[in-house]
Amino acid sequence: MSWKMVAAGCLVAAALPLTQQMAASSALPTCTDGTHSDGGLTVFTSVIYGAHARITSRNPPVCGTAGDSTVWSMLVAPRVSLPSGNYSYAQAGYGRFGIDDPVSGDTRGFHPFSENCARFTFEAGCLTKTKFFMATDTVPVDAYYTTSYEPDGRVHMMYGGNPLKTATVADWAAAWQAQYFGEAHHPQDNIVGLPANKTNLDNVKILNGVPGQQGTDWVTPQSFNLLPQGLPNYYKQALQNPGGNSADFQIWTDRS
Amino acid sequence: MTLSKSKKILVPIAASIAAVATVGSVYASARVFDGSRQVTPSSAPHHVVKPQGGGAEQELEDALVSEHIEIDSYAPPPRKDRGEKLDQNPISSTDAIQHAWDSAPSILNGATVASTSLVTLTTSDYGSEATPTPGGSPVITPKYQAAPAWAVVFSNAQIPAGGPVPTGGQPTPPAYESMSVVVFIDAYTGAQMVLTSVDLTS
Repeated sequence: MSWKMVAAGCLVAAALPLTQQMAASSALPTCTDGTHSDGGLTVFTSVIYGAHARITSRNPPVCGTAGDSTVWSMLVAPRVSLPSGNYSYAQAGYGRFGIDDPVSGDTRGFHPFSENCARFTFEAGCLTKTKFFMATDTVPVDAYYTTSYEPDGRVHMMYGGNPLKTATVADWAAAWQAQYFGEAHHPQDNIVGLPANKTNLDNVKILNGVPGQQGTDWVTPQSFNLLPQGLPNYYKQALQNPGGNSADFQIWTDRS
Repeated sequence: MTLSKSKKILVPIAASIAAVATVGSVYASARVFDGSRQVTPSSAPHHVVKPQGGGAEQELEDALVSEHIEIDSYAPPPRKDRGEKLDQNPISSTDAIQHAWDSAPSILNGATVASTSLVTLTTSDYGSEATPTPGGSPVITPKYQAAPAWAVVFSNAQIPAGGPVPTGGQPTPPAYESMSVVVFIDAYTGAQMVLTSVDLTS
């Protein structure tokens, strides 16, 4: 089956109920090589203690049992006691972690999750064992996904205001960064959203505060940018209010 | 379930049965679960047995501490102690493995079952959060507290790397990290509870 036929199926699927969307997605080819591709937004300010966004629930077609697709909000920080280039991160979101029988419309593997790493480099990935946690709740519609530094001295990775996991902050520096992304690992996987049903990341906010202390105010970020469009180019992203002060944005997959 | 899926599952299940025999599950019922008589974890009668030290189960318990998950070995009470719930036994380890497998197919794609154990599960981090006073430390009420569960340990699970993106570019680190995960399954209903990565040396 050609990619155009697959894309046509996705467009038709956009107007169908969930179970029928899954049936339509059964035309996707099997997974091939693993790549690491995203669409999303990074927020930069001098001090950030929390990243927060409301994310539309969409069950993305993935390429099969090995396929996966996630969307999340994340805190990133340099490790001040380690050489330059070492970071920590913590994120909360939802994801689809594989599919076996799309014809039946099953929703196995579609759940909220958290992930964090105490020492990360862009070259080698996580050097201290990735911490991954997945709840088995049904992914809520339009839930808030928040990662924030709380008064107990730990970063809380939460959805719907409740924690999935917490992590020690160690020696994270101030000037933390917030990132919000949709992510897939195979070119045949969709990131969440379709042209007719884009995934909203709205109410994008950051937690400001005094360096060395927890934040106190959730505010709309004033400095942000969408990451440059990478490959494959069918992963799309756009600000909801270009030129405005809102960091709210949308992501979707368009294979047409 | 498709035929191809069945073929994929047969190998790990067979491996797990061998693992149950060798690793030392505290209890493994061969009874097929009767879904019409389910009990909730909180109402299920149970006996908690502190591990006697050593072995894979002790290592698992120790490793989960850093994940803020507490487990104790769990032994269902004798049938004579269970009153009107005489016919409620835990689901079999084979059924627990199947439910675990369905929780996250891509993460467990290619993984193998290392062990199964009946435990009680408490999730200290995962639950509902409240802040009693403004600026005070949040208090988490665990979603699961001493809940009877099957702990199904998988080795060589594939955790999708979700790290940050460098400024102005796409990420380059490895796409997956191979590691052990534990899937907790409700011991009586077979419901999926949580999945967590765990750092096991053996």
